[in-house]
Amino acid sequence: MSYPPGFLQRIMRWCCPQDRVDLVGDFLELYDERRISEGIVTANFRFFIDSVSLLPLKAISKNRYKQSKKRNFMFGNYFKIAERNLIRDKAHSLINITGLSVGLACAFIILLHVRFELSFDTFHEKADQIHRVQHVYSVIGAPIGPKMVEEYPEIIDVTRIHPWNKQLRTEITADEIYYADYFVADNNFFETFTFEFVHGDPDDALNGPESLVVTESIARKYFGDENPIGKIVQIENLNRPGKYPFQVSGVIKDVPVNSHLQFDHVVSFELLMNNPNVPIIDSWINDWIITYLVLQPGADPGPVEKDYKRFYENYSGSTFTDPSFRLMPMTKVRNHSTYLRADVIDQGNINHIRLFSVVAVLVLLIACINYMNMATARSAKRTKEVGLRKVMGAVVPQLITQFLIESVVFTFLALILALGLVYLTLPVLEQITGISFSFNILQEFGSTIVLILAITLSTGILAGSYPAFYLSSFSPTRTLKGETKTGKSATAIRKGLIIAQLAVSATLIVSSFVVLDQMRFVKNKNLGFQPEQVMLLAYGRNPTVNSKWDLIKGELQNIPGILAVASTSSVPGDNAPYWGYKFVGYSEEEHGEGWPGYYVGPNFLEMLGMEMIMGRPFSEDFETDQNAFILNESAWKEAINTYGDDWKEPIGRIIEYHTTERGELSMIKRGEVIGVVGDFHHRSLQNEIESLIIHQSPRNSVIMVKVDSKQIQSVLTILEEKWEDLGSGRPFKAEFLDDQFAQYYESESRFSTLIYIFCGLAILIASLGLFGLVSFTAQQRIKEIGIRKVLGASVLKIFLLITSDFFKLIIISLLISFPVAWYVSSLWLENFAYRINISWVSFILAASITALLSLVTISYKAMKASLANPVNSLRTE
Amino acid sequence: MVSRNNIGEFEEIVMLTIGILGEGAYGLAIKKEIESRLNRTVSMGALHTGLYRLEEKGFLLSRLGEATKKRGGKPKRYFSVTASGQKILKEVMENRQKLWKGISRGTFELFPEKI
Repeated sequence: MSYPPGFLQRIMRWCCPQDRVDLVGDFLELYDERRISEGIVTANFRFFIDSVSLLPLKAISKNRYKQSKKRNFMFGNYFKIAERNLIRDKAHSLINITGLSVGLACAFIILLHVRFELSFDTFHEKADQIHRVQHVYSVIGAPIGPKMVEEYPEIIDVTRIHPWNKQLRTEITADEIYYADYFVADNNFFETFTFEFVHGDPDDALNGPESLVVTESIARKYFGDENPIGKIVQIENLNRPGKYPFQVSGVIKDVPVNSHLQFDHVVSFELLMNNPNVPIIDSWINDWIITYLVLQPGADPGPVEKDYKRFYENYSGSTFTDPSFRLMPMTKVRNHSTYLRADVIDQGNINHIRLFSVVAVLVLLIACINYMNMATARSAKRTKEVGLRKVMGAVVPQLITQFLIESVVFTFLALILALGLVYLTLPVLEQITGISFSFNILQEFGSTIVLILAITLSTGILAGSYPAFYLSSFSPTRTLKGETKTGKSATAIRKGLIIAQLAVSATLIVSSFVVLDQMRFVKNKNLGFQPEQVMLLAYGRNPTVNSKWDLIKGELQNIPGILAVASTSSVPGDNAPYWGYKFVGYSEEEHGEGWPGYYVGPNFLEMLGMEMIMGRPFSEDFETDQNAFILNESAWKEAINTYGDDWKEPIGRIIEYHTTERGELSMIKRGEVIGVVGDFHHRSLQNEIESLIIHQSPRNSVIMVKVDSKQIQSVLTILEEKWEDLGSGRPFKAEFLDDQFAQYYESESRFSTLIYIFCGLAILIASLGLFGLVSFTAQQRIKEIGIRKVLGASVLKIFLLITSDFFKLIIISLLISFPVAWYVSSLWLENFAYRINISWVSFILAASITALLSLVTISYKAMKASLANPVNSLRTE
Repeated sequence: MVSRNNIGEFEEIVMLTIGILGEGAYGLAIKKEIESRLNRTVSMGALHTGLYRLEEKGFLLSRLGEATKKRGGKPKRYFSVTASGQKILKEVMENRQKLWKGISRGTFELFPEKI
């Protein structure tokens, strides 16, 4: 029989509705007849014309003849075969399911974490309208918010909060005393934010300076099961000295964990108004109030942000020098504020969230590749099945469906295991990393389940896709004849997959080493002071303690085990606020330029072992030292740059300190520079060392004691006994400076822990994949190996033959991974102002680990293949 | 728009031809049968569009048959007329006959006798 030329056939097939193989048959039959009766030219021509005449049919055809009905009855069979495959090769199934379930478990854990972070503050009804005002700080002057409401029509409302985190003494009855932190908030606090009320009315719960709103658990703690509304609570030193009664006017449900505002007591902002103890309430330049603006629905904060410079200079009378002013949307406050110099809330980091998500996808991808490799590696065992199915009439889409079903069945089995893994490891992970994962599982149960199922299904389909296409493409004649050799393209794809897998693992390994290096650097870096054995006791700027400080100090120094005592206001790690420092004779501004100020007690510098470059530290022997200044090295250098070479000799020059302590910005003190201290890390290594101007403050807030490391316990006991007598009105709480300093790296160290874990898992899964591939290769070349052995090849030669291929793959994947790893690690390192240079040691180590692990994995199979008796492999030919 | 309960002239021919062919009524056979009996050319497109429409209306039923080597290994699709197809054929025929009966003798000069 004769056929029309290929291109005509293609035209005809294209004109045919896809489901009409019978039509193709009709065409070919007709062509054959015409070819004989009418000759080749006419036959070709009419074939073409007839093809075109099919187009209307193609247009109306709805694929009615698709063989879907036929396929349906095979589904049961697919599951049965999947089950048999699962049981037949238990070791293989176990490896496969383990890989998938570990990958899925990783993905779920990260999914939970990411969803938790992204759910922050979404529960407020006005979440889309609320914006937090922030510039270099999360706080701003008190009059700014209300003025903005007057100025801009798109701003509807403002709510201001002052977190009074001072552990205030709170008295329920004379015997029942607690210490608590307070939010001082505008009366519309509960209109702006959505917190559910148990008792009371959100609209007027905060009206009046005596009102107090507490959370449900606080109400239960204070009053048991009694109705808390109307109960009286005495609070001490809340924005004014002395004890005043407050009346519970509302009880809200406990604040959700995914709220960046965390509080349990709220009192009215009216307390701060017309209060002689709060002279800065009308000041535009004191940054101390968190301000939330409610915008018109859908309003764009952009114009307000741009206009702010004009607005600020117009009303404050001072110049605006802060380009980072922003209205930060409520739902972004938590994760997008890392650029701030300091924040009053616990921050998240959107970059960490993004990196985690990428890692989740990568680990899942490795698991998928793993499955692909294992499935294709075992293809030799399936070729006969495919051949037979094709002979019995299975078409390619049917076979693809079959293999996809098989991989989905495997993934869903892995899902069960993965859920178990997540359930078992979550509490442990939460403990190790301090990250919350599980909170919203129940709250958003439905969508979580849907997401989990969707991830599982797509993983199954992705993992099964390549094997399905690969296996279904086998030619029945060849497979049934017993040929199992595969094409070059299939081998190339499989190699590509293994390279991708190894590259991802190697990237993670390198990154882990960089993270490890940096974290070690952070822990061991010379801070310029000695934080060890220094205990911090906060007494909250209490005037009684400050007035009898000399007495207290003497008493503390007599406690055995205490080596030195100092008081301070600034503690290493804290943000150093900017105030006006006038370098007399050099600075032209009336109130000086803004410099970060550092307020310490007399022997602060000596106690922390800081080194003086010139001059002397503060001394209690000189009365004038109350007004003296010490520069740190950076400030000294900056002074030389700004005010000229005169400042190379700073000692004895005069500086004035201007602040708003008395309400208006004015000079507070004037004194000589008595020394220059070497730079020390007054903040964590994420931040640059700033130019500090150090001076004494009459209003310190923290006692620092240096303790003999052998007597820490006894000192603690004695201090706790004496604490009450100091009269600070705060509970006893001792912290060590080095511990507290380490807390600034908490988010980074959480991040690093997780990266180590995922790195380990990625390596595990990748090893499984390699194992699969090497078994495949060994099987493919089993006859070749047999013949080589018969002809006299040594075991070692055969071993090298099998493994050398893999070493090429390893080297390629390392070459790919190194630049990626370098780039990703440098991104992370940018979080730190002080960071390591990425060392080549990390790369060498990662390379060795990858190579070694790969070698170990492939050796087993390679050895087995090279030791096998050639008789077994050759006799079946 | 073709009404669901009506068939056109070509469709009627196709269905009748399927009736003539009986068991062997597949696309190409129908085409050849019409061409030889009625001496007219039928394009593949027109025939199969007609078959498709008729099957959609429920007047025809098709099944896939055996594959033969002659056709490049592709199966044939055999058509048969369903009960409703037969009913509509009968209706068409009866309607015609009613009309024929109404024509007076001698009106059509080519038909002197009443048929």
